[in-house]
Amino acid sequence: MSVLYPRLLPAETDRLFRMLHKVPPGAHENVAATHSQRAVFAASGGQRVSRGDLERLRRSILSVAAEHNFPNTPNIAQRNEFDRRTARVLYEQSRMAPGEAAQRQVWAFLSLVLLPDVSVWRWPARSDGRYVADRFKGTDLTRHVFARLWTRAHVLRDPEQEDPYELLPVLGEADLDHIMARRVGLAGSPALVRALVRAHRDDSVAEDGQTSREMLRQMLARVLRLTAFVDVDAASEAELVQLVRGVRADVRRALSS
Amino acid sequence: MKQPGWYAQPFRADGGITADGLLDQLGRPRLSRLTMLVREAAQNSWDARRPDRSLVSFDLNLGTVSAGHVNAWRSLFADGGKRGADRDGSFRRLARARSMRYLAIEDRGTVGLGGPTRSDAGHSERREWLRFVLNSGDREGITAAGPRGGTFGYGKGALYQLSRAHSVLVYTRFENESGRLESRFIGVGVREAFWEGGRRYTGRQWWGMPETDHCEPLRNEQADTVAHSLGLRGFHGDETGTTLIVVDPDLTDPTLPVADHAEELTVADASQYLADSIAWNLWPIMLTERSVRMTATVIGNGVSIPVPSPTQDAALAYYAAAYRKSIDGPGEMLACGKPRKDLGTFSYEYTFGARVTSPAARELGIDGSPHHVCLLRGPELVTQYFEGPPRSNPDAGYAGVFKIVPDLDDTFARAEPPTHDGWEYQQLKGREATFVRTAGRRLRERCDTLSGAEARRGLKVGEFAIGSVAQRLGHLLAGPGGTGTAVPDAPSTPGTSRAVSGDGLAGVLREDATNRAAAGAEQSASGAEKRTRNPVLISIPRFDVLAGRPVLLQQVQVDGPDVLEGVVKVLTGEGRAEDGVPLGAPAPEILGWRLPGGVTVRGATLRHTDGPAEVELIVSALADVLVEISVVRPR
Repeated sequence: MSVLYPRLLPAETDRLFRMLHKVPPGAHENVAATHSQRAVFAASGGQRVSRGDLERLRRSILSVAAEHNFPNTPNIAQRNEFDRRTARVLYEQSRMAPGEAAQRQVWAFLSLVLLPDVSVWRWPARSDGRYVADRFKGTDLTRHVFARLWTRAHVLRDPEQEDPYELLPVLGEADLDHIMARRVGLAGSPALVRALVRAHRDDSVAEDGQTSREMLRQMLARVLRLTAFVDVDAASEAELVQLVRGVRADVRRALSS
Repeated sequence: MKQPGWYAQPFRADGGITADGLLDQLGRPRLSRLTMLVREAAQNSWDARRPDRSLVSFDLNLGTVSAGHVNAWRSLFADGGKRGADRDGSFRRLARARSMRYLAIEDRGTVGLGGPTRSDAGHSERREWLRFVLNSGDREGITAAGPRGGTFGYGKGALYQLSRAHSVLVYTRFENESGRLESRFIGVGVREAFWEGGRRYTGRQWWGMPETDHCEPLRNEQADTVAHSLGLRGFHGDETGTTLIVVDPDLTDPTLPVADHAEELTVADASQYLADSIAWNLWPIMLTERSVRMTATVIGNGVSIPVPSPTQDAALAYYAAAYRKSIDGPGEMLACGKPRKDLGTFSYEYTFGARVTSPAARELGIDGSPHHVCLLRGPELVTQYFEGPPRSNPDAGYAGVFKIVPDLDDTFARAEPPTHDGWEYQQLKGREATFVRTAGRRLRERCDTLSGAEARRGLKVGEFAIGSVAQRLGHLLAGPGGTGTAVPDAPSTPGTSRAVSGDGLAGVLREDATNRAAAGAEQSASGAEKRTRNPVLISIPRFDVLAGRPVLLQQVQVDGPDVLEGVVKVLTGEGRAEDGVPLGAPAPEILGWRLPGGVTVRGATLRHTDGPAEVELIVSALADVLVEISVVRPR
């Protein structure tokens, strides 16, 4: 049985987002809640999450944040590490079905009602004092503070491995974001993304970060040429690994010449 | 000389049956009038086949009486005979009708209606006239002649029931006892009983040469003359046979439920219905490999309607194949256990993809994939399609044929209702009833096995949601959008629309005038008056090898003088053109243009100076990329 999450109504989403700006920095903890009058559940399809479960989810993510300098301003490494850990915690603990995870209002609830303090800590206001709406409202799930993490875990998780989440830390934030947010055509095929990440890990150029990133970008460009007529969803994971290795070798030759 | 006219049959002292009683003898058949007519008329024709001929032709002609003959038809009905006879007014209506419809049923290669013309005449071998024109239910001399179908018992009622005036014209030619050909013509009406002048009449009427207590047909030249004046097809050479004309046939749509104002079929639809009905009811006797067979044609308003046959209709082909199996091989014998008795041979074919759609077949119970057994007796006209359970795949079915063994033919014949469209054991007693009942049971058992219904009954079926399976398979339906170049059917390049407003046109003309003034006479006038249409890509590009290099050739239709530029882009899995060529990866390029006559121009740009032409854009061919080729006008 899948778990249903509260869906924050759009008007309430807008109101709470405006509210964020009025709460003084550091006081967002006070507006956190496990419940909103203006949230609804899907009529059917699973069991409604209990307030206790929501409370536990909040505590888990809070403790991850606390390990990474919450509530003080984190550095880049801390932010990245927070993302990796949270992706895993969120995915495992929420037991959210993909259909539920595709609901932007679910994510609006998590960021604006359940975890506003962690959200603003992770994505603080810009220099003009405004928060970035995409990070909170769930208008773009590849940019939402938590939805993007859940999606990464969902795509990169490989239950066959001893550590199902071993691929999560392979790519840096910018590289992973490049795949998940910019190359949506590839991100739609989790097995292909895993093959790409795995090939990148196993054949790392290492020393020079710039070359490593260039290699990944070139590899993606070439794979995109192929997915125009190759149905990757029909291929087995082994075939995908084969395909990606071949592309990788071509890229390496092109880069070294 | 006496004139021909109508004769009405009076009741006799010892009683008689009214005409409506005669019509009711068929019972209330399950089948429609059109189907009944085909089955009964064809059965009569088939039973009347000449022993010295191998072909019986059975031709239906549905149409309207031509202007040249309509007067003769009117006068035939104007002479209504007894005034009381036309109680429903149908003859008066026909006598005034501006046009009249008829259905002609012609059989040739048959013996014709011979024999005495009085029913009280002495014993005779030939009784066809008596059976068809005069008597009802007369089976004398039939059982002895071997397996026969219906043979003018009650079945002829179908003819009268189809006619709105309950009247049929009969024109026949046969070889008489002295070996000479003789023609006869008579009109037969089976109408309502009536009183006139203190006498009661049965409603049966004949148009011919009335005598004191019966009606003689017109004979020989007189018959031929009348038939000719009515526009009926005559007999050629030594042809024998019978033409039956159903006057004013009722073409109410047989597929609709009975209603007071049911819709009529058009002549074309009715003809198609007749043709389908012939195919589905008579196919066994029409198979081309038979030594004696029937050929059938249908003509509707002068247009020949093809009769479906096993060579064209997939479902019929399966039935024919099953039939041939039972003829060629030993076939499977279905038997009765107690008392022990073979009942008949069973054979079948599994069908796939054969779907029956004709309404005439639907009336017999076959719709979609066949799951029926065709029941046959001695005469091999279809008695019935026995329905078994369908198979689980809607495209799969089975076509079976079950034929009664010869020595039980008589038993099963007696199990048939007057319409010959089923076997009902309730009509029989004792062992005979057992045989008929067991045959039904054996057929059901066989159908259960063939359809898999038996296996399904033995299997427990669980109920599972298939959502997750569907989700896993869903991607099979959604592929990348397109594998070739789109072929635009409308101008798409902006700025080259053909619509020219008045102002714009003036502008073009003015500009052209100044151009001409500047450039002198070298500007062609024709190019100025109409704007050149956008280039059009024709079909999808094809591979070729030019100068040892693999290339793609895209045909382009050019409308007139124009400057064109070829563009080629690599498309990615995201459905867009690639934003940059991957490092070290090959990129397709425009190599040039090939003009009619084989001249090749290098480069992407083509300056076309002639009129409309088809040119080819040459693009380098690469492995493992999806490319989009387009032609634009450079800005």
